[in-house]
Amino acid sequence: MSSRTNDHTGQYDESQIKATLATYPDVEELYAALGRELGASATGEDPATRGENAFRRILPDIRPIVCGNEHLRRYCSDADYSDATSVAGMIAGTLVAAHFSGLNVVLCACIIARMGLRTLCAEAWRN
Amino acid sequence: MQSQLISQWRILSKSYDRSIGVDTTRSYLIKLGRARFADLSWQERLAERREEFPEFFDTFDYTWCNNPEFYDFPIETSLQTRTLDAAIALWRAKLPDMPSNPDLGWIVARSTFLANFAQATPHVQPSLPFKYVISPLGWLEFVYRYFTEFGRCVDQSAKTPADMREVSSKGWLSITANVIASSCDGLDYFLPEMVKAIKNTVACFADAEGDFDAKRQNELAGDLCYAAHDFALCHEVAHIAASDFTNPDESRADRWGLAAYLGSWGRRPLLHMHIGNSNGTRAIVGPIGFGSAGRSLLATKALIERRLRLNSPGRNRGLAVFTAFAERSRWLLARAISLRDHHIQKENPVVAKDAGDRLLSLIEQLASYEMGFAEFNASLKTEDCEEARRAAVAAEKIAARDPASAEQIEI
Repeated sequence: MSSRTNDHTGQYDESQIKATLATYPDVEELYAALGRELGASATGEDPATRGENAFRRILPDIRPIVCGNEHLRRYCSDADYSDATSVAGMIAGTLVAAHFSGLNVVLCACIIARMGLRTLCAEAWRN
Repeated sequence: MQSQLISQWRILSKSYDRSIGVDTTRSYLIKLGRARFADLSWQERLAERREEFPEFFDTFDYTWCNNPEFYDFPIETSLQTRTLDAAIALWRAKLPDMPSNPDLGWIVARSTFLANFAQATPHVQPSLPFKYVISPLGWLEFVYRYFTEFGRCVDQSAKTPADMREVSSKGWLSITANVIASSCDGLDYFLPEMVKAIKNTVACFADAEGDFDAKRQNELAGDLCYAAHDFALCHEVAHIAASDFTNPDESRADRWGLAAYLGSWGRRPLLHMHIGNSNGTRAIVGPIGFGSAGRSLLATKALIERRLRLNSPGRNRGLAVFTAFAERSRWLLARAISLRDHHIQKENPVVAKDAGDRLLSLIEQLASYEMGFAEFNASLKTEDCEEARRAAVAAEKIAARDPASAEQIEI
């Protein structure tokens, strides 16, 4: 997937985010999609496990990028939080701007949007 | 293309090697590994293969393999040679259900500093045209510790699970504690553990001249580590031949992997003769060892997930993966034994009988060992697991991540 951002809002290509969220409506399916990109393992873990493992490995890198973004924080405290497409788009834009790489940015952003930004950033946003 | 290979891997490796944090730490660990395990003979071994199988190297361009710049982790030269052996063997096997021209080019063997036992199984990750066969340090270390304890049980003539528990409970607890620590997000990177692993574990998997203390201490463990991991490499090469990355057929990869293993095992210079001077017998140690180590790792992981309630109710992913793997490994064992019978028919009957008896004894001991390890883990109280997890979280907070601290670690 390409890395296209809207310079003004830091928002990712919305159609790509929309399509991803529509194709993989829950977190398990998003993990499985991520896992399928990661190939096959000798002990035969299912794609969802592989995807979740990879996502959790990189979570400590993602968390400060996402939770440290004041724009995202303000958006989540004001806006209708059910709009996963906008949130995922903004997360993807934030990750690309921070030169995040190693895993599929769109899938990671959609996973975080489905998990909930407030859950991910509970500690960082406590104050 | 060759610079693309390096830059692609730099991107992919971020999701594995984030654990070591900064580049200078990574460089320090690489330097440490190279100093201890400089392998000077890999280019000669590659040249031998090229001479022996020119048609393979005419079909697939592996000239880049000779360039030392392509290797980071200390044992990647060894892993690349062995992975190529598997690819050559599979290419020559021409199994009836294989594609006539499998794409076995640009297979790149890599290791990572991912030390997390629970996540670090060997796997193949495509980033076409490259196919990275990845052997994380955590897997190598698990296999090393698992078979080192087994070797100690054999040395001390422990036969029953209870006897083995007497010998190995301390070692088992250490293995299980790592699986518990691995269950905590982000806790895959204890730098001191990594340095120890490079010192002790990697020797078992390297072809290099150098520090083989760990291997000399227990040659049986060394052989089992080496052979079990070789089978894992063959299994991954089989996935590449099938191009089934997104929807992997594990049974087919086992079947093709076994063919690759049997066609290439004779090139393993370190596969010694602990279980008899028989080609057929030695040839099947890999699948048996891989099955035992894999079952034990997955069973421990499933148990810990359940104990610590890491999964939502009803999900039980760990249990499902263990069950599927146990079925695969039963097939592997049966198939390997029948292949062994086929091989030893061609050998001296006295040698073959001796080897057969030793092999059966080894299989029985390994079964006892696996049972003892499972019973030991089952006997751990949930509170003990939770305490170990808390300790891991606390340790993470003080774990050194900067190169200055790394250099202070005594090795």
